[in-house]
Amino acid sequence: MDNPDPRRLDLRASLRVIPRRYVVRSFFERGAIVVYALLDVSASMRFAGNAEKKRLLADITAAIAWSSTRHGDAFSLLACDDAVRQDLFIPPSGRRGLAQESHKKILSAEIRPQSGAKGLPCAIEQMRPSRSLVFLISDFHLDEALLNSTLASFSTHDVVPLVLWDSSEYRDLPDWGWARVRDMEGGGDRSIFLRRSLKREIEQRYLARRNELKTLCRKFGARAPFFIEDKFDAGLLTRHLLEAG
Amino acid sequence: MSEFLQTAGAGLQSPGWLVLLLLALVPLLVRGHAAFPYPAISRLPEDELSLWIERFWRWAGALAIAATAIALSGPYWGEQQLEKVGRGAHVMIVLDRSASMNDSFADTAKSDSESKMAAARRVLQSFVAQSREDLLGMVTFSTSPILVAPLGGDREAVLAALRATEAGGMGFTAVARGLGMGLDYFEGRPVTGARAILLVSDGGAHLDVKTQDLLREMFHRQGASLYWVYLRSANGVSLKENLDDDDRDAYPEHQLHDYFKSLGVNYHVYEAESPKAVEDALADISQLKNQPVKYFEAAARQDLSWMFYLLALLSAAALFALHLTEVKRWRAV
Repeated sequence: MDNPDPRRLDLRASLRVIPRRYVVRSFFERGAIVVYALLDVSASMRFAGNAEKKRLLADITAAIAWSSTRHGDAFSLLACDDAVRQDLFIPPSGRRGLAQESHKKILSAEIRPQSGAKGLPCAIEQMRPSRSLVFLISDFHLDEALLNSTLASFSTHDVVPLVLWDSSEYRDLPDWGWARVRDMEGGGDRSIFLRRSLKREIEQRYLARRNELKTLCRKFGARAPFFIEDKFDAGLLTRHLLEAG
Repeated sequence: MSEFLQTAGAGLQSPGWLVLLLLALVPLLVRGHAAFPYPAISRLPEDELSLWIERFWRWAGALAIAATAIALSGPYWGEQQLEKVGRGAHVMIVLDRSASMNDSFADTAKSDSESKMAAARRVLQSFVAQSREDLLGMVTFSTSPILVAPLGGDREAVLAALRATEAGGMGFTAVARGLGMGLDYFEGRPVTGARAILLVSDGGAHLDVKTQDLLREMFHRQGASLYWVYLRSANGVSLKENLDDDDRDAYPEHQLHDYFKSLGVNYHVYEAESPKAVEDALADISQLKNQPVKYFEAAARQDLSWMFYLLALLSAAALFALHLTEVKRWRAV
């Protein structure tokens, strides 16, 4: 028996179930909180290195949606590039099939090339004012001002930053050789001659950035950022949330 | 700079190709090469070496194109008029190439019947080769005169012209026009050496009075002496024979001889009946030494395009080497 409380015994229901057993009523507060998945769909999220970031976005969002609706919380999807993407908006609801719907929606959505993520702070206008859980899913390759204003505008909510980095961005680089790289958000070209010292420098920059993000999130009252590299493991995220809570 | 180029004699053979220099701007200006997409290059360090490689890559491309364009336009330097001093005479060879020159000599005692042209050619060749300090020029004539080498120090040209006479003679004997053309080449040149017309011919031609006067005037104006190497044909008449006045009209050689004698300039005739006699005649002429002769000669220019081709090749090789180091796949190997 799930909830062995004799005061809540539901006799009518118990008579109707097959096989016969006692059924107990249990009461949940519906829509206690709304869980928001706030996606950054700027052009840099088109990056596909060792994993495709867009697919990761869809997977993570679906996992959050599934888990929150299962626990009776409402789920809502918000996606922003330079504006809030209304075509990707799913208003808060607890209906079934939300996970599949949002998964499909994200995969079929087109991430506009050359777009930034200026819409992120505006997403607050489409959210309910009550304190909610916000998963901010982005690669966090935003400029400092935008990142600050985003975190500041969501500071009334419980923000969990999920950082999507690809191992081919900084760890899994070619060993040696000359390469030109182009910024996906229109930041120009750069020539880099990869060699051991440069690779080490790039990796160190990303490590420094990781620490920087941690302090920044602490400063704005968000939870510690959770770093996802190439593969999303829901179990690790759960543990991260429990540790932080 | 341009003054220096002037004195160095630098120049371009076909400057039109320099238009291609504009193409050298393409590697410097064009953006949009294949590049790996990267989420945020602001996360990448600004590496000095990489920047220089990029610059080197662009400039090497520009240099390769520019050097090719310049090489195509054919740069050279060193075309100069060198002043040279010679001690020989100014000799204008006027060679008869009429059909009769193909016949053999009058002196038939010798069995090897070398044609007059062949003998004249052989001996003239050795004359040209020996006379190191003479200024030589050459005109050939048959029905009309042909300039083959202007008066100058270029022996190769004269020798080549002599070799070209192997083709055999043809046509008539236009002595007057050949002499006139030969004399024309003395015109306007400073009289720094003895001037001689070396007429190598096997026969005469009737000259009308007008032509005679014209030639006489030209000889006097140029102050040239005349050497006639008369190659006597098998059936020709000897100039040494004294003929009656009546017969003279029948032999244009005699008429010409008389006319030359009446010119009033230094005139010698060598009657050559055999190849040997021709050699003797030319030996006399090569004795003509006189005051130093000043003349200008064009020094051969040096072609510089190979240098630019080499430069283009090196830049292209550098580009290719750089291309080989390029990352083909954005993955750790």
